[in-house]
Amino acid sequence: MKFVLLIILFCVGTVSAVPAEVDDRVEYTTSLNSIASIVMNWYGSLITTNENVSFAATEKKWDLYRSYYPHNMTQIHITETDLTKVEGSDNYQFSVDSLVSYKNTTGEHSQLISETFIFQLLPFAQPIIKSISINKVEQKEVVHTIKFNRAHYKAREFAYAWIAYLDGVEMMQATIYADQWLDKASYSVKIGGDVIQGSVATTLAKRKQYLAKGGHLLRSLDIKKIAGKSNTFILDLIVEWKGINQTGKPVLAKIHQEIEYKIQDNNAWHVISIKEQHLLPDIAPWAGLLC
Amino acid sequence: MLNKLATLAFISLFSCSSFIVTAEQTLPVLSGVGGDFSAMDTNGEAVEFNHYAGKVVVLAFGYTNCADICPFTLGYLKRLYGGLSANEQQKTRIIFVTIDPEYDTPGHLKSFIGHFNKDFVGLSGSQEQIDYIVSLYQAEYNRLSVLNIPTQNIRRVNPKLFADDEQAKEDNASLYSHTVTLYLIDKQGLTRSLEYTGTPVEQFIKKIQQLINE
Repeated sequence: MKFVLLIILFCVGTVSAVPAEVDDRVEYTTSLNSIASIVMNWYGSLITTNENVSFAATEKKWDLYRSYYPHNMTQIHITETDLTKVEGSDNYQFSVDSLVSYKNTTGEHSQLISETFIFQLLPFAQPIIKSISINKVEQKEVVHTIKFNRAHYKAREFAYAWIAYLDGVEMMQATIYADQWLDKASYSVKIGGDVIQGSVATTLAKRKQYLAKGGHLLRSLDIKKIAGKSNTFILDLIVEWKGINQTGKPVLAKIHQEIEYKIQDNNAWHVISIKEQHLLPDIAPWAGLLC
Repeated sequence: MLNKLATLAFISLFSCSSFIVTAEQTLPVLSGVGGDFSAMDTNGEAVEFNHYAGKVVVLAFGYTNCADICPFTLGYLKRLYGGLSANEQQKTRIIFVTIDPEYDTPGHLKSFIGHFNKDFVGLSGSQEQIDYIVSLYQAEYNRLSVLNIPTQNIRRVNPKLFADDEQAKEDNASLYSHTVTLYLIDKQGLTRSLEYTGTPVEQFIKKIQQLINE
């Protein structure tokens, strides 16, 4: 009798093991992507240049903290990040090291700032900053190149919010200006010989047959200007997806997305089309070898 | 009561055994790699890849005029296939898709493939069909002449004597570089792993067996 019960308990434990792995992936990617989007907003909005790039205002209660950063920042280069879940709570700790460049009356300067954000994140909700603390500030050698500007952070804020939205975080719609384009843009997906085409909603519904449950992680991002079209760009993303398909089989995808968007007069992004293709995943170094 | 519990235990065991297999699964579906296609078999008959549904497939690209890598790959596949039991061989297909359909006619392909194993499947077709299969598997091939690689001294299966440099230049078109990946495809036609001749045969066999038993 006890033996029979033990067998049942063993099996129940085994059965729940696989979905838990997928659930873990979903939790990790949705929290990472939505927190990263907020962090991109935080740093992008700290940079003071004349670029026509706007960010949503951060909460008033952080104004004092933000005043401690150097003024006239020209770029922020994030050099290291680490996301960990705070045990036994809905909180996540996001540690960031960044190399900040700024100008004052004595010239150009650079500082290494090490900070820790604590976010509260309920499932599929927008992360809320609970606390921020500076761990370390060091003067560094001046960095002259300007690469990590407001536009850099705006693109990343959008990209992280978009892939969080793809994983079901509806709350990221405001960050991607969804009300401006989500029901108008075209979305095509090529998976092997299969092609899905339609609106964002219809394509995502059909895409679920292939990528039913899992999570997206951003691997690379590039922005290309479209010649002959004013204020129109391609956001070129490579994203890794892991999870299960509709039949419960594990799936690995290397996703290439080309998102064509136009920056409107109010600086909001208006997405025109999304073209997605699933590439050969980077699982074998010989996959690209030719003889 | 005991009977009911025993029945429950049996059902649980049965259902969890499939989950245990899934838990051991290390072969994810590689999204976007592969799919259905049309080709021509070595008897000159039109064939759809779906025809092999229910079999585990190992698919390779190559061409018969390749004197080095392709015979080496097929030799490896011969050892791989030989390592399977007769029952497992029935449930497995080794498919060699030529990337030189102009030279690799069905008959030509049949004699070349047959040299390694009569069970192996050789597929040719029109240039469009081959290019489509190559694109489905995100493979690649190039004529060496396009890559400006000197080919006069490269070994080939059918050695040719050239009367002049111009002739030799023209013949460069029959030598190719191509993807060396071996695609492991499950019974539903989904690509589950990318292997090559460096994969230990025993390891590859285990993966085939795992897909047979799914």
